[in-house]
Amino acid sequence: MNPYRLAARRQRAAHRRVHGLAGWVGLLLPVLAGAAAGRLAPAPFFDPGRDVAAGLADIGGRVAVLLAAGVALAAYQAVVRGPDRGVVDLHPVDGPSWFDARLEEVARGSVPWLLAALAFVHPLGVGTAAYAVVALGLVLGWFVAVCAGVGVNTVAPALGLDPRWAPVLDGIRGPNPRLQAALLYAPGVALTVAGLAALAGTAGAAALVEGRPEAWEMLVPLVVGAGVVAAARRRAQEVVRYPVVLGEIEAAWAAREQGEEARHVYLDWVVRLVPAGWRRDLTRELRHLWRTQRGWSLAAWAFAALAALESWSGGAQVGVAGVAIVALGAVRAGAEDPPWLDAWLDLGPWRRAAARAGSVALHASPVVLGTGVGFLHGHPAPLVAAAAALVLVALLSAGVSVALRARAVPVYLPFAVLVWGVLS
Amino acid sequence: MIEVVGVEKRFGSTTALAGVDLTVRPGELVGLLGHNGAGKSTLMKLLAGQLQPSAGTVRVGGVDVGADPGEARRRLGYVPEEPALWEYLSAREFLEFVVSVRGRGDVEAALAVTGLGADADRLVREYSQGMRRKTAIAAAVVARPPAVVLDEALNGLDPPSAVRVRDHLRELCAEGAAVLLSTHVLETVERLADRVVLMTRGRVVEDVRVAELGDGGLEALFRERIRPD
Repeated sequence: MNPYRLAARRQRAAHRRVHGLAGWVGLLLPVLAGAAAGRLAPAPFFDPGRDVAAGLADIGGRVAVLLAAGVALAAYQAVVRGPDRGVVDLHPVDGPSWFDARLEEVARGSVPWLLAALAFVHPLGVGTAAYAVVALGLVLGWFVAVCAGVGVNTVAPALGLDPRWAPVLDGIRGPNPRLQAALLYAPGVALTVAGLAALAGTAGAAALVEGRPEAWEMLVPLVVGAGVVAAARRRAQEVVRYPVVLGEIEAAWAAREQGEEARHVYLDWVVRLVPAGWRRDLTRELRHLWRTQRGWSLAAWAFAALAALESWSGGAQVGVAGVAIVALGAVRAGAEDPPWLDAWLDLGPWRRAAARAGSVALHASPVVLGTGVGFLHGHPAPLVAAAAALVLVALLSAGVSVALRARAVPVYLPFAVLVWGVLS
Repeated sequence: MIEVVGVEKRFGSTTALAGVDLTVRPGELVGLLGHNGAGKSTLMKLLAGQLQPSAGTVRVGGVDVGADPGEARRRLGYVPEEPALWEYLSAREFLEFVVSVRGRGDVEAALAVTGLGADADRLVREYSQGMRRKTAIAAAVVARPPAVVLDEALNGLDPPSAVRVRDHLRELCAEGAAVLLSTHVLETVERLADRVVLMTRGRVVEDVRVAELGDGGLEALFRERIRPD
């Protein structure tokens, strides 16, 4: 018996014993949120138009990509920063067994997200061919996101330690330690692989409607997912090096920020521009977001570059999606907040949510700046759409993360898709 | 055997360890003392494979930690300052997991060291800090590894538990294990250790057998050799 699987199974059983029915809320809440968001969506969102196949591929693709983003992020947390690390890192590790157990845990843990996505698209008509096509695309997207998320994050530390990769990592790491570069980009690589494969999968599923030969594209997520898993499992023993990679990264940052970080974090200069009564809360949130999710904050600049290119010709897809995805990092940041902290800080939920909304808006704002390129070239719509998305997702992500903490991500995702669909 | 040879550790412009040499021979229990920031925890993390030295070599049970971290882990039982346990397992289930990944060990014998009794079947999430610490110590020694490193691990134990753990550590030493114990409690080192190593500012400044300590004992030596910044 795989010891990691047995331990995980025992923990799940104990969790069910302790929490009883309350444990089902974690499953039910995302489904209800997905269904509600789908119900609130304006009719055109689920109208495939005259080209039914392309329309269904578009609908399924949007939802699948955001689903993949959430799953890729969850895989990063589970593989790199999860509570298992502290235990597993103290003992000998059987890499392939550990890998199998992680894969199963991430798959199980993200099922509520998949169900939320399936509930979100219910206006297509459950039981209809259109719904079946989009649902199939979503299942394929979820599958490849689980595989790519766990696979890419598993091999990332080995790349960080491999001297052959040093020139590449030095070129892209910016001010971060080299060992961190591979980990920093791992969620992005996982998301790109999963996102592209998911888009191919939804397009293939949609081609089924018209019986076109492109239906073979449905195989892409399956082949890519299985390929990434097979390759990563072969190198899974490398996870034995994870403790030194993470230890060196944390030590490097601690040394760099010693005595300085308390006064200076990314974007904290903005605090001087806000009303005095709000400064302390906003500073705290900026520090929290930067220290726990800096990868997502930095990703905003990558989205900004892509949004600038797209907005040049009037497109708003990347600008709106980028804002929604960067805000996902903030939703995750709230997942680990201990329940007693707000009371101890004498901080009510509204003040906490307001500060978090401000922090999210600041971290995602580079994406909106990127769409300014379109504005300068006579296309104001992308800028307006991205700015509106910024306001909406800042409020949404702050609200759900403060209210729901660890359960916030699957609730946030359907509404983020809605914002994306409506505004872009 | 635990061997630290010419180890330096730098974090940017900060030097945490400046050429540390330390050996804990089989059957020996060594106490590591120093004020906060002396470099003790950095040294412990190097031994546990959670940091890599800027220079020098770290070997555990004859294995270079950097070259073969997997085998080094097999030969080391490490208790970090903050116990790392799974909240939704009982101590017994947790030790069963450790035994299965280490490929050897006696769960019942390890539970006897903790003195948890019937509490061994309660979930860790219901444990006090002391019970967690005892479970972490049991997990480190359950497979009877040839090297054991404990980072402030005896703090917070009730007296009967502390005595049981001390006796068990001595028993491991008698079997040939090398044990390195970091603590701030001078009395623990005086009563338990064969040798005491004092560190300050990333250097070993004293390495002396406990039996050879002068009249003032360890406290006098500590006052003389260790001065906080």
